[in-house]
Amino acid sequence: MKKALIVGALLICFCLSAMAQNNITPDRKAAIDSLALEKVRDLSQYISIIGNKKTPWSEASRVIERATELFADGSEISVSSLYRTEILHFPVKKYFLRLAALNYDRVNITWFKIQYISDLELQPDGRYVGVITIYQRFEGIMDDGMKYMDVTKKDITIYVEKKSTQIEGEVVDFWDVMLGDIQVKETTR
Amino acid sequence: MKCNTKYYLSSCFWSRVVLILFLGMALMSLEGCKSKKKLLEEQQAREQAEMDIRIDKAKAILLKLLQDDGSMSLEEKERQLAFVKQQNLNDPEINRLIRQVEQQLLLERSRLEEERKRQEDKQSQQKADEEAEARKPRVANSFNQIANSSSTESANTLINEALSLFANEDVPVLIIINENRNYTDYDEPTTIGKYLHYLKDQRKNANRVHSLKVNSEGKITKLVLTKD
Repeated sequence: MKKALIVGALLICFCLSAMAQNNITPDRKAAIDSLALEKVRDLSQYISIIGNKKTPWSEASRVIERATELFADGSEISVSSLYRTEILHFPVKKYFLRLAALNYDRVNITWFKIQYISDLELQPDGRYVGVITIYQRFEGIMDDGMKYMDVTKKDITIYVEKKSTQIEGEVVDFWDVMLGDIQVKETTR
Repeated sequence: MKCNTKYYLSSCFWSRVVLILFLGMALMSLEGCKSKKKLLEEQQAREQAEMDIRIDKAKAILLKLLQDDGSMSLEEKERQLAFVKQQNLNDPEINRLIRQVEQQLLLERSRLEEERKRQEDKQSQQKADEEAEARKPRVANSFNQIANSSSTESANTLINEALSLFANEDVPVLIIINENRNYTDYDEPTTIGKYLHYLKDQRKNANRVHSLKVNSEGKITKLVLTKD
């Protein structure tokens, strides 16, 4: 009985210590939340550049690489249209390449109402996972005046993980923010 | 016969004179030896006394060097030690003291060398910090210009100009997202090449220069930014 109590106490101490290590202060959490939101805003700008028909291919190609680096391996982006009910899923890079090759003379893409719908929460594997929702206004215009426009609500899964690296012999702890799948939630005119 | 007797008497006389002279000379020679020995002894005694004085003087010098009251420079101490050594006093105690002083001066020399090196390092670090500080406004200005450039072409020109401030395109860029006394949180480290294009793409310069390191050629080798 006594032994069981001691083992139990040790187990509780161990769990508390593990929780304390993973626990972060509110201002630290706020900084990470803000960092993740910034990555989404960065992606928004990259998508706007890639979709813009005035962007030279050399620039678009470089931006596609930068935008792809924001995502975790194997992530997919969903695509919807007012003209079909089916939602298509593309690997991240393929989505960007398709975006750059869209058959419009002018393309304007803007993201707005970028906000968390699910706060970053610590997972058993040590990563923080949350969901950010965005609204995307897509506008494709042909020279003959034909125009397609929709507004799509999308959910982006966010993964944040603490990592370390060495820079000039100094250990640097950093928060690695990776974007996961982007899922279409609704599409309207 | 008369003549022989006269000759004999005369010869005896001269023999006696010669004998007396010989004895006198022998006596004088003996006296001379005696005084020479005495002189030698006196000289030896004088030399020994001089040697004792020199040893005492050397001992006093060496003991003063060992006590080291801080009134002498290392060069002066080394000069005084050399002065003692060149006298070749060959006294066991003096030799022991010389060894002690040599050891002490060796330590002092090495301490001074270390101190000199520390000072030099401090000065060069101070100079590097001043150079780094002087580059901050220029770096910040070039970042602003890139972020606010009117076209991709002009932004690329500005990027090339900005890159000339850095050792190479792969210079690490760290971005502090939050810090306090216990920790510093960073965004994922990037390189200056990527960061300059990031400014161009995002059209915003949301980070300010926190610190930077420069090499001996005055080129930046590490850049730390912080969120505004």
